[in-house]
Amino acid sequence: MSWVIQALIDAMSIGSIYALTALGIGLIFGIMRLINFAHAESITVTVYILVLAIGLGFPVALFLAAGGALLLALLSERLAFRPVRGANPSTLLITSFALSYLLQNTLVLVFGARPMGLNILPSLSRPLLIGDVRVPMIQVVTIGVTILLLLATGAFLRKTRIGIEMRAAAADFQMARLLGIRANRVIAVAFGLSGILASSAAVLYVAQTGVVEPRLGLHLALIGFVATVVGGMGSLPGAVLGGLAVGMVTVFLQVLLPSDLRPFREAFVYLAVIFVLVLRPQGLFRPASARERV
Amino acid sequence: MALLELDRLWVSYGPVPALRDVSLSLEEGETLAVVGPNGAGKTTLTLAIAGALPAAAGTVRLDQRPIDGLRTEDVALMGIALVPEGRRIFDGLTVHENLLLGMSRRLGDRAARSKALAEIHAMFPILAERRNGLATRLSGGEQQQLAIARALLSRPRLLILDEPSLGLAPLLVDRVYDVLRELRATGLSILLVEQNPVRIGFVADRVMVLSGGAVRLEGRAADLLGDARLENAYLSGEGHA
Repeated sequence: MSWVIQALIDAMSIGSIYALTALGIGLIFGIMRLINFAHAESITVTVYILVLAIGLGFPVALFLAAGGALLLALLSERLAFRPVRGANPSTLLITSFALSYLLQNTLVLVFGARPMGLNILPSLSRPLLIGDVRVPMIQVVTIGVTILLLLATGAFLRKTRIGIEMRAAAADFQMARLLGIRANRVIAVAFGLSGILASSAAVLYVAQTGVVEPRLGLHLALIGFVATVVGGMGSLPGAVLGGLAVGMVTVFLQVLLPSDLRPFREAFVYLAVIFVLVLRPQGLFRPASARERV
Repeated sequence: MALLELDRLWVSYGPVPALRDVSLSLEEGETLAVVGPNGAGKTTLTLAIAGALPAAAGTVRLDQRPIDGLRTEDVALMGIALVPEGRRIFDGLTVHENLLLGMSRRLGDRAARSKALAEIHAMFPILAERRNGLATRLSGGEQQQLAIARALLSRPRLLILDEPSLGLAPLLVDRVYDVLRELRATGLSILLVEQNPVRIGFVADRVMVLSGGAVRLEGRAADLLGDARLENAYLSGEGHA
């Protein structure tokens, strides 16, 4: 029985990171219908700022890393996406790929392609005993921080004027503008929030893995994108639940697959994703009645 | 003095013109009804005035200031409010949140906003009763009231309504037209777009027939309603006032 609890905690922990990543991607998609693959670089840049600043102490490094991700997200909106905002979705997608490659290769140029070790919170690596189950403290912290961040994001979207404007813009962007809601402000805040979520996912992820490399963000953003599709494109609760679902499937496949099949775990994850999309093309957590905006 | 003026406006979707050389003028406090069959360009006209579609040629002026080319939100903040076809109530937002979004900076401070909201609740009591419910759960008629209330909360100088009776039962259409009469009595300038010209006589000062993207007929409502010229212009796309 203890292995089930252990696997559940593992799944919740990694699923939390996927959920934060998916929420950041889902926020931008909801408003702009843009799948922002450059979200990956907000994650990667965060961990490289941590590498540079960790000598100043964790709180300072965290502040600088989150600030860096926020700034990068705002600049990418202003300089890369705003000029092509009215263009068709494929132009937006290609812009996001171009930005992603540019930033990724800049990181390789500056830091090299080799992975680096980074132990940002060594005190959290000790295990916590829950009955017979030994759980690394960082996993409990990851789940707790994610719950707090999701509650804070939910409160921001429901209780503040700009949050309500963002939800309205996600539902019908043109109608929101017809009411005088400023498109530039709503989109900039969405990018800023997405940057903060990216940096949060990055810090929690690197605190668990301890490895930094230039494609780290790409791996997470791909899974985050899959999670938003599984959850239902355009649905923020769907993105979060999609992230948790992908985390669950990943961990339980790792536990349940025979050892000679484990190297192919990712293939099974994507097989599950295809299966879900065949059965529910609109995603798991989006009502079948939901219509795509035109 | 004209509040709104369109001077030889052309709007196109790609190479296809949807509005051709449309000119109109709407005086302060006047209600102008634009009627026309499906595909006449009526919705295009409303969106172009509200700044949501760019003009290919021609000018849109509010208070003699050109507003074509401005951002949609800037046009709204200048005092043009659109109640669009299909109401376009925000899915996932409550009735109160939908109303909140209608309150623009034109309203002023918090006290002015509270007063405006109280007035709207008095005018549409169902919106006060259902304030915390999801707006898309309202009936069609209630959603139409919400769409009008949301537009009115911006204290517009010009209210544009695109087919407010579309899809509503006759009793609910009567209610919507009662509201329009009340608004007209307050001196609000209204541009009312309808496919069916039957009811517009109750509210309109002037009528314009749009067909094939062009103005076919224009004149005083009292002169044109019931006149064969209106029917001819509507059906055949011809006529002169």
